[in-house]
Amino acid sequence: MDYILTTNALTKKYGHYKASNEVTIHVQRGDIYGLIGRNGAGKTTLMKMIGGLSRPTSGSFEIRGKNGENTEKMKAKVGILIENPGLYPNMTAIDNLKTKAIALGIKDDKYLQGLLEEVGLTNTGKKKAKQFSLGMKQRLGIAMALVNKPELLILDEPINGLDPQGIAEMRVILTHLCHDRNITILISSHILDELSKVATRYGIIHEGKLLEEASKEELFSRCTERLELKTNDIEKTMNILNGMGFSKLEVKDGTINIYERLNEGGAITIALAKENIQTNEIALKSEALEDYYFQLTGGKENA
Amino acid sequence: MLNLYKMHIYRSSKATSTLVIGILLGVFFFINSALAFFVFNDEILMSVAGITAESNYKASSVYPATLHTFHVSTSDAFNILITIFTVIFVNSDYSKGFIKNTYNLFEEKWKFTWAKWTSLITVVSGIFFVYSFLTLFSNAIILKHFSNSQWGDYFRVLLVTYICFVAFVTMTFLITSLFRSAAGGMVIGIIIASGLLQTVERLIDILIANLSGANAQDILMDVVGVNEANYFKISDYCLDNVYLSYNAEMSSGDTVRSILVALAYIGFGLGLAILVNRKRDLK
Repeated sequence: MDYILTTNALTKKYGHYKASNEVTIHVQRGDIYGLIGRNGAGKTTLMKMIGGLSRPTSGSFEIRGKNGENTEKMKAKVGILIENPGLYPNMTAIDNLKTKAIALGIKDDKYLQGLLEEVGLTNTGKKKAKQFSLGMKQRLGIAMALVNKPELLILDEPINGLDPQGIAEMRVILTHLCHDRNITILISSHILDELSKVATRYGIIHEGKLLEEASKEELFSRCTERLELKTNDIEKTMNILNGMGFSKLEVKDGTINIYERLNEGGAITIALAKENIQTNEIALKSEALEDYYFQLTGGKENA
Repeated sequence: MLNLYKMHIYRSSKATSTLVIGILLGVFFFINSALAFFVFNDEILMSVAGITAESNYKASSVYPATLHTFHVSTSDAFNILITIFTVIFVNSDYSKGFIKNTYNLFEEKWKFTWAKWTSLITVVSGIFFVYSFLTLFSNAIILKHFSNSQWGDYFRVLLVTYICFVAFVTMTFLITSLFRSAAGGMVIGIIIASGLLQTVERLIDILIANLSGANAQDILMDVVGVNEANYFKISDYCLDNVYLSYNAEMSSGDTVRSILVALAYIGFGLGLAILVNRKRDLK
């Protein structure tokens, strides 16, 4: 496997509290790796360690096969946008980019203009960053992260707080960067639905621990399909279903979930009608990524 | 590291705070020039200001070094503005989060502190010299007793006060780096800049003199500045006192002590700031 980033039991302790607890992830070149976890799960801590903003208490990580902690040149190939874009509010978009470019010894103004074009901020002119919308600030933050021509882009909650249009624009940018510029992206979010639209590989993190790491295909195959059935008499319905030989059943919130023989919805409806039971709703449902995540992390009550 | 230095210079050139501080310093320049005009064109006020016939200077002449000392000793507002500028300069990339854009790109974190300090010193040195020369130039025009002589004294006083000024900025740099808070840095910096600590230092001096059995009259004469007492004074080693009290009449021993004290503060302040920032995580 061509891994651009691997972590090995990466741990960060604050006193006795482990914000990141022996996390081991594998990011392949060309991945959009989605780090899923609720607030405080340890996503930002992990990203900060990889991004060189925080020192690991123990464990290590490798960027392009070399120890990331001690390799300045490797880190120079990492672009980060963590927590907020880190802009000077009284500067224009291009001045913010220039400030970072000067620190890196880059004098190519055309390149910087090109970055603004890539993130759709060419027409901002003399408008200062403080006058930007949240979406514009996030996009400028991504442009800032791209100044050093990174191979790996680390984006912490870049779609957080964006309106639907902003989210859609961000999706287009991320896909473009990954596919057209061959940049590997490590992105975190707690908006699973959105993450599922762009990520190709996932790491599910909870209370500092990595619970699962899987490709998109693997993860979605675990999101099982079921028949959801709502009737006016759940007890009788269960008896009838048992009589028909159904055993993988579950009653949840007034709904009967059937996990087998998913193509027998018609037969079930007829059998219920014969016993004068009214079918209010019957539908084939696929367990959403969100449900799977809740199941893995201990339920919605924890969210 | 040179690039980081250039970046800090660039960002300060674009910062609103630089413009605001520049305007305020301009206003303060006119106020201080007017103050000099009224003090040095008036025999009584000149006497109050310490430019008396008893000194090495003639009452009828105002020398460049005298003017510089006068401006340093009456420049609380200048020092406070420089403190505010320093705190904003040191803190802005942390408070705005910009530091995250560059912090991961350099393995040796001491470079960040060093580059920031050198760029800060470059900017404030520019302000110091432009302000000093402009003040001197305007005073030379408006003061009827200005004496175009004794330039050696002027450059000696300018050099010593400049080194003390760099030490003062470095200590503000350290305080801001330690607290990473604009408010904390400003409060402590302003207390030092305004000379409020000098009273405390004087009190400690008197306590030490009393404990060491010094003559009460000597202590009194020293406190009111008539005679210099021959006992250990902690204020001789406190930067604010060294900076605000240095003048052309001081002995070469005092000059050397002032320079060494200032250099010690610069070394301590910068060294500790580098150590503090080296292993810190970014919050």
